[in-house]
Amino acid sequence: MGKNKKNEGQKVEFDLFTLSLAELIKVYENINEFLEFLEDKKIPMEEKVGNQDE
Amino acid sequence: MNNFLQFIEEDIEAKKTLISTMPTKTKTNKRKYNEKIDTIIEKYSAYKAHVKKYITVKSKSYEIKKTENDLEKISNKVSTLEHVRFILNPTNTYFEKMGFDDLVYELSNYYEFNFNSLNDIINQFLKKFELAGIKLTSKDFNYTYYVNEYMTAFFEARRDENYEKLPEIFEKIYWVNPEIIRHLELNFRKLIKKHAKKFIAYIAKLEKEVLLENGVNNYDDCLRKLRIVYEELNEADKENISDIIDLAKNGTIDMTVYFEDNKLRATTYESLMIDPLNLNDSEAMEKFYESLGKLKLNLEEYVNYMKFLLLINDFKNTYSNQVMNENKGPLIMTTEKNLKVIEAQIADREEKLEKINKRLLGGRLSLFESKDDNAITKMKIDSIKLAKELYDMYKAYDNEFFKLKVLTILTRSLTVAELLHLYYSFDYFKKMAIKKVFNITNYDEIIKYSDSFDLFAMNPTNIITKGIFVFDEGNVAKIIINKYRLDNINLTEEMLADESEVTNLLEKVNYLLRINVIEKSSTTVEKIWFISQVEKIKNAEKKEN
Repeated sequence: MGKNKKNEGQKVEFDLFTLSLAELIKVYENINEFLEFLEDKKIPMEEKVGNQDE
Repeated sequence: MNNFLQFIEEDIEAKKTLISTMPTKTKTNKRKYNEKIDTIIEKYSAYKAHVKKYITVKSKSYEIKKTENDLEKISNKVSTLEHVRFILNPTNTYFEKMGFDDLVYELSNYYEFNFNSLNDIINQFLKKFELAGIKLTSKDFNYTYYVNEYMTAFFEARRDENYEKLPEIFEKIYWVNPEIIRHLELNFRKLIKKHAKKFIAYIAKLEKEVLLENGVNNYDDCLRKLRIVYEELNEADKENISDIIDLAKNGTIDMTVYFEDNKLRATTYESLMIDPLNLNDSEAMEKFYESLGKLKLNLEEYVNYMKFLLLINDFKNTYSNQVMNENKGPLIMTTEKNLKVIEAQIADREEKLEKINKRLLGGRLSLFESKDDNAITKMKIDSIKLAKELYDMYKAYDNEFFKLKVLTILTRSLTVAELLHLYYSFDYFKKMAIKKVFNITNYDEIIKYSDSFDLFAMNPTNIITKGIFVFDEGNVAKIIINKYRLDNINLTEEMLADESEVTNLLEKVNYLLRINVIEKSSTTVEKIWFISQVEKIKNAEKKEN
């Protein structure tokens, strides 16, 4: 898993190499906005554990 | 997939669609939905970290190391020569050169500061006396009974380096004699007068020293040398590429308007050119930028001129009648006579006061007086009354003294630069004038204005103020406009109408000058923009954490 992550990191950095400066900033902004979007989308779970839904 | 940006854009859209179609009705649905989101967050957090690392390294590689220039060295040279000029200034006297006018101003405005500041001012007075080899003791402070009481305690505290008991003593005196600080001022003024010869000798010695130490022949030579180092300072202080990168990083300038296709860039060039120049004609553009550089300095001077125009106009209104008088001889003679009369009156009152004080402080009371509390109280009251008269007399003396200084230079051809120098030479009157014309009561605010005035008045590279007359109704804006018309720079009266308009114009000039600096540098607008964006990202992350 750790090795895979490292490889992916290297790949991302390699891909970034081909981008213009404006595109690099755009990539970061897109990722950041998406992360914020995901955090907002999370559904708060109730504390009690029950089987009402099954 | 073309590149990583496209991959991200498509992947985000796909994942958004995936999430929106996931069922969320049941608890299990919700759990699975959240687990999916967490998986995506984990992946994208890793992307974010990689991208951030990459852009940070890249941004750093674009930064330009600050070039070592001699700014600090030149600034030190300026400070040294400023000090030489201050000492050699032929306009003022030992009183101003010793900085007594500054301390008198502080004492006169004592209601603005706290008790510790009072002791600090007294210490500063004492140190100035010590510089001239005069060691004062409590015996020298006999202007009034109360001054002696306070200063006796003060010298004890000074010796023991423990001022803790002083507030209590001061408060006790203050309730009996709220004029105590004025009396302290009077006492110092009397002592300054008494030791005038020593102060004059001290300044003369200092003059010789500073001339020798700094290789300066005389005052005019000092001004000439000062002008040269100021010009060096202006050159070294010019905005360079590292300064521009710093301005972009801290968000002072928005780099998006510096791109070649930006509309503002084109319109700013157009607005400042009478005949449009080909921006690719390097020779013509070099001349244009050179003129802009000069215009920048002139505008900075003009902004200062406008800032202190009220002060200049106040002087103009005060002396407009006298300036009409071609023969100022009788006026000067009258003022000199007034000074002598006030001097004699001061001497007479101080003699009377001394007599009372000798009886009060020296224990030379008659048998009847020593047993009569009322007689002692009466003597104390009489001394306070005399001190009050003396305080007004000293103020009248100061005003006549300044008037005499004004009359000796007052002509219809008095330039603004000469007036600035006059106020620069007399700190007390400068601060009083600032207080009056700007209607400022806040002490710190007055000091701020005063410091800013000095910086303006001291600058030997000022050009405009040397060419305009205080009593002339000439249009300064028009002079600037006509001068730059010859250099193909388009200026209008509206652009120079007030401080805020000139500040706007200065921003435009700085904007174009920065473009020139960037173009001449090894970097590009895009790279600086990138550095600024990465800095923004880093700051936002710092805030989040």
